[in-house]
Amino acid sequence: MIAWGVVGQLRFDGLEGDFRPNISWRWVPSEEERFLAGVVKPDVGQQADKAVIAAAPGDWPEFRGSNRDSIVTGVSIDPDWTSHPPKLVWKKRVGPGWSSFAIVGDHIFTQEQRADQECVTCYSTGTGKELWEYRHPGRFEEAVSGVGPRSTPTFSDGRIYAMGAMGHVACLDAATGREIWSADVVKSLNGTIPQWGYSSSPLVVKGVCIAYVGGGEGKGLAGFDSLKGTLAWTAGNAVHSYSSPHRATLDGVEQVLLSSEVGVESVDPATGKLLWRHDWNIPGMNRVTQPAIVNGTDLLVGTGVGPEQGTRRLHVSKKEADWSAKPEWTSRAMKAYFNDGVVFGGHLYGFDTSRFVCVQLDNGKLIWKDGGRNGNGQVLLLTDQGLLIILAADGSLAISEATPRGPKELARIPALEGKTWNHPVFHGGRLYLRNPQEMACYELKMK
Amino acid sequence: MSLNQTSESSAIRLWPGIGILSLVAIAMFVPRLVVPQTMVHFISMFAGPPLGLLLALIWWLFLAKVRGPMRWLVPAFVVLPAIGLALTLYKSTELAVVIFAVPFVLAIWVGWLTIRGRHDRRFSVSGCSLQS
Repeated sequence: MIAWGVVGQLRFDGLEGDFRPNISWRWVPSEEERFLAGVVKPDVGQQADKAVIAAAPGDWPEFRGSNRDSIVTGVSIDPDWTSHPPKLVWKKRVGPGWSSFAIVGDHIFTQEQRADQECVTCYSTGTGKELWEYRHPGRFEEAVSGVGPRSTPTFSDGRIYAMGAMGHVACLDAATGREIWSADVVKSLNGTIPQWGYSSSPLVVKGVCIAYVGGGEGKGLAGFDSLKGTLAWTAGNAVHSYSSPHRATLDGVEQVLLSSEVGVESVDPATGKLLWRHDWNIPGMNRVTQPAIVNGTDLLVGTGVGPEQGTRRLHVSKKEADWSAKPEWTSRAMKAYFNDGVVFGGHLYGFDTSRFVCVQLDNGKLIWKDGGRNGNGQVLLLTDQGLLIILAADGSLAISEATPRGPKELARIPALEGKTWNHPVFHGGRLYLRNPQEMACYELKMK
Repeated sequence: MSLNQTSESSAIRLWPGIGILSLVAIAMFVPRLVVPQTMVHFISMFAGPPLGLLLALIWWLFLAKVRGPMRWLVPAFVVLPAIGLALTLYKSTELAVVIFAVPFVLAIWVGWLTIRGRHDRRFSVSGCSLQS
């Protein structure tokens, strides 16, 4: 009874990526409770008549950027963080959630949990001040993966498309947060809430908002008319994925890919017609990371769970109406679970569970592996300089050279407090970071 | 339960309890090292502790040679708080009770009996009295 008494005094705050539990005393306020105690209500009326927001080059309109690849081009920063470390512009509390940011102009869009409401929220890039919130009843909470929405809002044509952890899809006015349409993929399409909650960020292509459903047998994905919200099509057989629909142009044809437990499926974004699929079934398991596009015909897919962990390079080609997707190699050198990698200079840089690795794209061979300092972090690539910015699972921020010569960390700073699995964002010379308890903006010295 | 009530009975058969606790520890830690993030790892991690608890209850009730009210009270003191916590304080994180709290309580339960056993021939029964 004494043992149970002790257990009753503890609060379980989820697991680390390596399954170590996060435990705290119950009488110490949780980060969520501290956040809720200080939430400042936005002045919605002040924002209601704002002009339509439009995206410009350099914006970060969706999960992992415009191409969903976490690659930043056309910028050059001072990599000497020892002399010129990133300067904190602002930092503030945020509600729980694994969402990253979409940033358009001076607006930041993200998702967070606020008590029993899943919220899409909009903040100012300059100050971090909240501009509007959209609330929808729902609270996804799970012992291992924690509380809150997981996916990142998508900006397209003045609208925000967001998916909650329980399958609620909302289209909002990006300037005000007003709901334009909404759908529930669980109720309307028999979607199955995945074990860790819906984590897939909607994708808008050719006037269609494509969302993960997980209903299997032709209902893995759904396409909604992006303006009206009417169902346009369903496609695919996925039932367990945390990956997001991924736009790609392969062999000259624009298509949408979904990585899931069945493998990879490709559909025509306008009609939902299945173009090709690569069966790599891992029953009962899942895939989380985005496909990484290597070039106009090749891509990488993989997972860090299940019986066939690792990364596979596929060569996709089209001959008249027939598509083929042939494996070039399969490698266990990178077993990425929920930590995406980046492609640069003939190599793939990313996470082999909690170790950062470099893998040769030609053959899948491991080039090097670091000591695991970054844990289950997330990475950005500044491609002009070949620099990697890694937001580690412990909230520290590192800058490294992307080179096959070995792990070359240049500097590291403490950036966030607490477990950090959220993807970092680069926008306008600044880094925007968050985790389930705080969000921050750091300014980088540009060259 | 008093010592007088239990001293008549023979010493508790402890080794199955230690064996069960060892199996739970193996289920929790070995697959994680040998076959990480596979179905074997997840099943052993999530199913090992509750199965261990079930085996521990069977051991205590039928194989441990415990007599008297403690035979029934100890399982009640182990299981009922687990259910109560899972339904109240750990609602929505009840999995934490299963995969972390149950092994913790099993370790305290069997560990206490083992430690007491070094000092007392009737070892575990008096230990249970204190523990409960």
